[in-house]
Amino acid sequence: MALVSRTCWRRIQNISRNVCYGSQQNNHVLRGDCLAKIASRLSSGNVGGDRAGLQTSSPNSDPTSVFFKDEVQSCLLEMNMRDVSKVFQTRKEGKGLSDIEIKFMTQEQLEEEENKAMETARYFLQVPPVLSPREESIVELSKDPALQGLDESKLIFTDISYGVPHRERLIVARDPDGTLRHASTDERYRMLQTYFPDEGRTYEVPQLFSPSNLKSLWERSEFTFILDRACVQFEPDDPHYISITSETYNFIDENCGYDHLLGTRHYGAFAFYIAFYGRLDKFLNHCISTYRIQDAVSLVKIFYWSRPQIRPSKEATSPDDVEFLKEYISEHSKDKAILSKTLSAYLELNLPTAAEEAALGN
Amino acid sequence: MIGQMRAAFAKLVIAGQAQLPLSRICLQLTCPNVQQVRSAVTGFNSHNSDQLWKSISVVSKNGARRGRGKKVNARVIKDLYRNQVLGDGKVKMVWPGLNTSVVRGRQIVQQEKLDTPKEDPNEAVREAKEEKLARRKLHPLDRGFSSANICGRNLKNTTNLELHKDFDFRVVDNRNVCHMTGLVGRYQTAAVVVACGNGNGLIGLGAGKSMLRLKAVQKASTRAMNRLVYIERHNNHTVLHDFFSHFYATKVFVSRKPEGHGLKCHRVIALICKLAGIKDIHVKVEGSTMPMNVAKAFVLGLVRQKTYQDLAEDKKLHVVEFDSLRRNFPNVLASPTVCRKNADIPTTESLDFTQHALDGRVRYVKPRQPPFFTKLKGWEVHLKKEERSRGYRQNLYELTAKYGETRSFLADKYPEARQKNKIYKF
Repeated sequence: MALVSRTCWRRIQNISRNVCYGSQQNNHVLRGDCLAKIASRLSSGNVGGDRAGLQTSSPNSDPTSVFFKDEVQSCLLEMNMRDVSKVFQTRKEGKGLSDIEIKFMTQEQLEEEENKAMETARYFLQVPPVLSPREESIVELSKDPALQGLDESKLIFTDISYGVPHRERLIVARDPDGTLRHASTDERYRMLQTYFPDEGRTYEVPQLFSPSNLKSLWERSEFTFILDRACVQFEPDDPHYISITSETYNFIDENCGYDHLLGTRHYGAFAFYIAFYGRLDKFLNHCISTYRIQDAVSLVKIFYWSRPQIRPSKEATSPDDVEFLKEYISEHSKDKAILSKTLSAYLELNLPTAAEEAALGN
Repeated sequence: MIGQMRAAFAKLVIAGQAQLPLSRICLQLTCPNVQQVRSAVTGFNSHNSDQLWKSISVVSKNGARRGRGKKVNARVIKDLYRNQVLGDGKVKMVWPGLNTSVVRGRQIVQQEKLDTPKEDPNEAVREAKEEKLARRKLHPLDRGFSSANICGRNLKNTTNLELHKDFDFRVVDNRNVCHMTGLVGRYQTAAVVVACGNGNGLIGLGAGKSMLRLKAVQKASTRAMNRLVYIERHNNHTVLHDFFSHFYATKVFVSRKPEGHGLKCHRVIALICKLAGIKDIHVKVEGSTMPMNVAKAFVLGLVRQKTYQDLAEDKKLHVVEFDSLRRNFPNVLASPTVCRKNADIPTTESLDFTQHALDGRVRYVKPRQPPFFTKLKGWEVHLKKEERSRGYRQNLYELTAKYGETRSFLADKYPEARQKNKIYKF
């Protein structure tokens, strides 16, 4: 577990490094744009892959284009950032203890440190992408029959120069029959792991992702362990990654294990997954009954964004707009009775709204 | 015996009180058939049983002064006939004159055998005779620093003293002190220091002296209870801040440690920490390590700790904690009523918290030297040899995970060349 969280950090660093490299090449375009660009490249072509067991009730069957929208990204990050306590919990990484430092600080210094901590939280609560599985297409560059039988095995050539994002790195293979082609995804993965090894990643898929071991982990509610480890091991558009995460999300939804994800980076990804595929009623009910009304509103917002043909009569005016929720419940939800009952029970409590709390804070 | 009886009768006859039948008895007593018994006066018939008992169990004052009976306490002194029921044994018998009266009404009681009882009335006595001496075994957590000395011992579980039920009592120091007097000479006294605590911030130290060690312990325990002090702890696991304290020639440098660090300190300080409820600490004792002074220096330092609020008010700055295990989240421990601004702080002022808490002292931490063998030539040879097998263990794990055995990449081509016996199970 400790290794996972440590390596997870590395993975996040790698992602942001790649993103930075991308932005440098694209004359400092904004990060969102860059992500969208990657997304568009990822989503180009037909979306294949097995998504058995999913109710693709959404008319738009490709989550990639929705996920990288700016408003969706900010909404998901907001959802993650509502509870940052888990980021700052004591972590047991097997590194040994270090002394706790105490400092004298002025108000300005303290505020600076608090801002730094929020940056740290934002960094560790980045939402892992929810994408459709990648498509395997091998581009042939040339065919030289003169080179046939040059070697018994294929030769792979990798550009290992620095400063190139891994997705854009040139890797080509020469087959024994003389064909020169772009490397397949597996070959790319292997070469990248050889020249730019990521801590915690292995060449082989670890045994923990076998169905029997996954089942045992689910039963022990080790959801964050699975999801963190999957983030470390796979690329986000890997069919393995998508099947493992979606099965884990399904299990969490069936067994109401939402609290295990709360405060982790997977909370937003789960919310997106559940809203995109239109099975948000159970989670919505849980959000309202645990007074997380802002999360409920975000969830419904994502539901509408992923279905451009359905529009609410009025957009949500505040982060805890109950009318917005009421409209969803009456128009689109499947468990209308239960949801409206939970919402009315919540309204009877007369809890202060977000605006009122902000006023109190000032 | 007969001689004594004869003498008694002779006295009666002389007094003229003896009648005729008595003179007849006298004749019978002088009968040559009765054997004469020597009536020598020995140690056994000239002393009573108490005197005899004392003679083997106690050493006289003069004897003790000469060094006799030094092992007198080690020897078992047992009265083997205590509680013995006379006339009773495995077989229940009626012995007229011994365990019953001779005459019952007008009839003379006859000697007879009764039904054998189930229990022998002298069973306990027999057991006491057969019992062998064995040292009383103490629980390892109760017996203290070493088995023979009472230092560090848990008094509640090892003595019968009446102690407060909510507190634990442990012996910190145990010494024999003496002075010379004209009358007695070397006058020995037991001096004992006891610490008590409730494991939740209360701690007391007490010293007691007495001729008897147990009395000294009782005295010290009572004094410890009378001198309880409350000490502040951070999150019930460590001290508030690093501090320095001293008592006579003993100096202690105490460091605050994160949870899970444990007690890395002098055994006396570890004992006090356990009683007070401190779980994580590092203490370096410098100078004299006399247990009583170590304990006093430490407790004094604990009591003189400043609370975070006091420190914040002193400096007029926030006191903020940064833990790398918590990703350096600024955890505000205390805030002053009025906080200074950046511009108000002179450049000469030191803002080092540890230095402030140690009153400007700096503890010299000796840098760790590499072990001696790293300088030897053989170490280099060893490193070169080891380099070949680096990553071996990791490889073993990976191969076993993949194939269930360690195998070379040629195993598919030449299956007969596999190491059949090299199957590892984890």
